[in-house]
Amino acid sequence: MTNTFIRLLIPVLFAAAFAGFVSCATHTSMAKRHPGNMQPGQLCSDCHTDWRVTQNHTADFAVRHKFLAARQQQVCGMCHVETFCADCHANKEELKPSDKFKDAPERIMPHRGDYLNQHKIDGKIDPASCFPCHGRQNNERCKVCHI
Amino acid sequence: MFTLYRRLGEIGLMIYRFFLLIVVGALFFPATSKAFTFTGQSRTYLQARETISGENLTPLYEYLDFKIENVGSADVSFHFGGWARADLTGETLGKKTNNELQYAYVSYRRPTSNAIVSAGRLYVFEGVASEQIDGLYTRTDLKGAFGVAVYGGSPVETDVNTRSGDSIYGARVSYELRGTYVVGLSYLKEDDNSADFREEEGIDLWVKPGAKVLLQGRSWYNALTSGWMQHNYHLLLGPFDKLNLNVEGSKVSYGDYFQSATVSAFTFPSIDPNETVSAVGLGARYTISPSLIGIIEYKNYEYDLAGGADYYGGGITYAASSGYGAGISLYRMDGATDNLKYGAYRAYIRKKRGKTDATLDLLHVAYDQAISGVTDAYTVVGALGHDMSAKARVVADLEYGRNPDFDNEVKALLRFVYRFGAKAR
Ligand code: HEC
Ligand code: HEC
Ligand code: HEC
Ligand code: HEC
Ligand code: HEC
Repeated sequence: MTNTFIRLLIPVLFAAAFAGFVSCATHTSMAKRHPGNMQPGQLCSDCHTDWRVTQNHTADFAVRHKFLAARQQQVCGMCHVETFCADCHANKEELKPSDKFKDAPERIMPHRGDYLNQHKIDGKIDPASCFPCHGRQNNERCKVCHI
Repeated sequence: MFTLYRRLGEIGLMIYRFFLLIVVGALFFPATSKAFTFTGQSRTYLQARETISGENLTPLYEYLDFKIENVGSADVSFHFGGWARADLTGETLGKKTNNELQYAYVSYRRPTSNAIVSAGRLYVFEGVASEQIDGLYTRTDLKGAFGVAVYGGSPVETDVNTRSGDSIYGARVSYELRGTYVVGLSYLKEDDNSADFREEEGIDLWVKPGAKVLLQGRSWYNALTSGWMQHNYHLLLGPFDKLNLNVEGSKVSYGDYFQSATVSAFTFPSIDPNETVSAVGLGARYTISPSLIGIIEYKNYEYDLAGGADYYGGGITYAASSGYGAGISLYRMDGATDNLKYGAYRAYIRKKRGKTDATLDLLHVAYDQAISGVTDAYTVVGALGHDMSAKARVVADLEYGRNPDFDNEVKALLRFVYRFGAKAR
């Protein structure tokens, strides 16, 4: 069975990861802090021309950043601390992200305005889009009505 | 043999405590304490709002995050984030107080090969995994452009049962040709009380075949239901002069995707396990001038069982270095039936002058079918911010709403942000 195979593979990968620590690749790690001074509203392409321009925080970044997040530990972490992500990706969060940033109307925030009514439609049309944030966590509020 | 993974949480906790001891111990050693960098942020929110039942709530929240870095000569750091709430009047969600430990972990980074080991409560974003765990995480680049990440511990999720003996573990292996492509294979296993709860496998992709083409995507497979949970691909084209295009395609099989839901809004039969949705999205962004950008979007949803839906609209945003910002947007959701149709309209304006900024935001949702006899939801938001110094900022905002739940809804929020140490976002 492939599953048994994968389960057996995991300890091997653990070993590989630790082996990597001790020897393997020797290139310099990415900086801990981003060396440039990026201001809100700026694009990566204002200063970079290589692969980094694909991380341009344009308006569609709200939908797109999930594809890049596997680099969270290195790339995103140069500019963002986890709290930044936790405003939207949380377990027990009680404040709507948009309530915390009323002074930043240009940011792409889920659930602006009165969402308790609109969610009945969005949730019916595309429940899969809600699931990563509310499916197994951050759903105390939902349980008031969705018992 | 797999009880090993259940132990990982405990091992993680041990390592976490051990390093924490070192960090705290070193803090009190004058010889080493000079080397520390301590940065963080405190955010305090005081909100005033009313519930549908007419109760007045004034929750006071304190969010704190900080990191202690460069402990000693090795690159050891401690990271913390969490919040606590106390209600001055009323009870939010039936509790006078509440709190959350978002993350608290120690981390060791090697100066080479992007190698990291972290232990404690932490976030893991590795392929199929976007999880919060109590445990151990490690990643490193290997020789020949391979990378590997492995994690294990116990999941941090809403309690559904006693959930003792839970465990979660998984890994992602990637191959990267910097600037050209990244392919990742990932695996995740979660046990609830020793019973299989989730077993997911995934492929993720990042391909840049040319200067103006970027393809990103992922496919997740549910090994417990033996079916693909989702395929989600996104193609980015441009810039062609001032035009950027994107195309998105996704397919979700509800029976496989929602199998591990723990809130009734997403469990079967509230969600139909036989349903499949395929969505196609198209978007265009036009940079009229560096400060003026126009967007149009269209997304179509096709279901195996239910009737289809269209979502479309667009907007214009303006952001000038003079401190002016403004935007308008018009969107329309066209579901199969009248109760699934609405229009969402928004306009905002923002002005920053010196250390002070002001925002006015207007939102209107027009439902085709009245909800509780009301077809329109209006929200007016006003916010006033002031930078007291490079480290301190205060914002006061007032929101007025008229919607199916409230004839007059007033929400107010006072926010105070203080950054200590070097600037962190
Ligand atoms: C204001 C200019 C500016 C902006 C905007 C900017 N950068 Fe940078 N970035 C720099 C400078 C300067 C460096 C250091 C020189 C170099 O590596 O190119 C740097 C370095 C980097 C590095 C290499 C770090 C290392 O140690 O290898 C990465 C990765 C990076 N930037 C990513 C980004 C991303 C992603 C964005 C957009 C979200 C971005 N940058 C936006 C100026 C900027
Ligand atoms: C070079 C620095 C830099 C890097 C690297 C970077 N970001 Fe950002 N990001 C920013 C800045 C600056 C903002 C604007 C924050 C603000 O408005 O306060 C931002 C905003 C965001 C937002 C909010 C967008 C919105 O409209 O609300 C998200 C989400 C985000 N970043 C995710 C990521 C992810 C995921 C990564 C890693 C793949 C990443 N960022 C890498 C600098 C960076
Ligand atoms: C302004 C709110 C916001 C912030 C801040 C934010 N995200 Fe997201 N994130 C979203 C939204 C919305 C989605 C869903 C996008 C979609 O699928 O359409 C998402 C999706 C994701 C996903 C995919 C989840 C899944 O299982 O499908 C990951 C991973 C992720 N974000 C990581 C991050 C990281 C890492 C950061 C911080 C650097 C971050 N996000 C910050 C709003 C945010
Ligand atoms: C990026 C993560 C994210 C996504 C995606 C997301 N939400 Fe939320 N949502 C939150 C957060 C954070 C809150 C605030 C905490 C809370 O009230 O539980 C919230 C709050 C809510 C609320 C309460 C609003 C209120 O006024 O009290 C509803 C209802 C809701 N979400 C429904 C949905 C639905 C339906 C979807 C999918 C169409 C969705 N959410 C997608 C993060 C998300
Ligand atoms: C004030 C009560 C209330 C709260 C709180 C609430 N919902 Fe709902 N929700 C409803 C109602 C009513 C419907 C419409 C049910 C219907 O039409 O069958 C609905 C529908 C949905 C749907 C569409 C699926 C369906 O069965 O129609 C989803 C998904 C959903 N809600 C998710 C959430 C999430 C996630 C949260 C918490 C973040 C949440 N809801 C909070 C009342 C609520």
